[in-house]
Amino acid sequence: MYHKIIAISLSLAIAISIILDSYFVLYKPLSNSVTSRSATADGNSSSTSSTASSSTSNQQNYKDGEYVGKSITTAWGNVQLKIKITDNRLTQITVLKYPNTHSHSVEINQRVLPIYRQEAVKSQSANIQQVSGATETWKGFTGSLQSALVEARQA
Amino acid sequence: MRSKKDYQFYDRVINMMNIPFTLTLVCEERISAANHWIDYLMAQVQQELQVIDHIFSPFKQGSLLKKYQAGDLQIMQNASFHTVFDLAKKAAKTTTGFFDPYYASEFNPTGLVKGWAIEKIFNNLLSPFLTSHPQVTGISLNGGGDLQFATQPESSFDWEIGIENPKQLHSLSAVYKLKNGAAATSGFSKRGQHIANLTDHSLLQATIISEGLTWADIWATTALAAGQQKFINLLTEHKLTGLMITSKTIIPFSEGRLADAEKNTI
Repeated sequence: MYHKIIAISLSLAIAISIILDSYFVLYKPLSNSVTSRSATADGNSSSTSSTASSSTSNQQNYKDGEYVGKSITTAWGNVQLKIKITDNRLTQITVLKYPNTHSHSVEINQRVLPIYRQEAVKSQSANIQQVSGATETWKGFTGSLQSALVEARQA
Repeated sequence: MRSKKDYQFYDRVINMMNIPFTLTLVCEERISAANHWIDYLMAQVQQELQVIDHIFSPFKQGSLLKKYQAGDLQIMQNASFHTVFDLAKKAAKTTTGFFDPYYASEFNPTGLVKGWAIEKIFNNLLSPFLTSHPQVTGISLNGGGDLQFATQPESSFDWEIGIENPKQLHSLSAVYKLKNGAAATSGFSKRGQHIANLTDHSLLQATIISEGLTWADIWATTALAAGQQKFINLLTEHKLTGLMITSKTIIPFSEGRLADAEKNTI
């Protein structure tokens, strides 16, 4: 759950930087609209996604090659992209740098949310150490989850 | 990364005030002294709870609460009674009356004594113990489903706390991963106990995560009494964190904002 949120956040951050990069690298020098459609990030430290670009008439030439964007600071850390131009089109976006979802960037996000939630998570499949619940259920403590946990640990 | 299986857990359970209290120590490895430590701590916890029960029991004849209800105002000179009395008044005011410390027109702070007691014991006894025992990774005191917990600073250990599913008691509605703080859950079953002014039945259960158990417990009780719509206003105003469960859905909220995790909005 948490990772999913982080992943979505990152895709958003990356999408923003792609738009910025596209703007600086392509749109500005060309004075011509180049639209990047979408980009996604997966769990790898370097992910690549191809993006089609729509070009208008009255095109100016843009030199083929690879261009590395500036590292952009986002709320989740630094993001840096590399783009590839082939035949005057933006053909590839490579994410060179984005925050490691397993370390610092996770802690920057201060929001406390359940790591997962479901109508009924089977307690046996969940790796938990404590149970929070309403008092009444605790009166039959021998049958409660907390009791089961304690007993399982003593076994 | 250390897997959870590597940790050693030490538990002790006692029954006080018809509630099971579970004390848990977590260590990174098996420590022979841990059993001694936890027995010592549990005895201290039991002693503290007995003192508190003697003051606040609504059932035991001779409790200070009973004497107060009978008109003995001298009881206010007891520091704990005074503290809880003030706290109950503050809770009623802060929650705009949804937390009601009066039951059948008698002052009865039963609804907050447990949370307050656990937090007090935690701060006075368990937290200093953790600080002075670096071999212990974490400590928690769970009283009938309301708990206060802590871990060593810099430790990678998280308390993974399951929130009971109100409709299926042997399953969970959610799991939290937390290092320090408190979690309190109020449900249907608590209604008869201390939610006398219940008019709205929209929530089946509410969990509050916060720094201290006293207010986590007060707000969890408040949520149930207020019902979904009115509680959304309160949780926004007071920047609360936790989980509401209705008959149809589970609604997490964090620092006063509802999280629509279905859409992954951030």
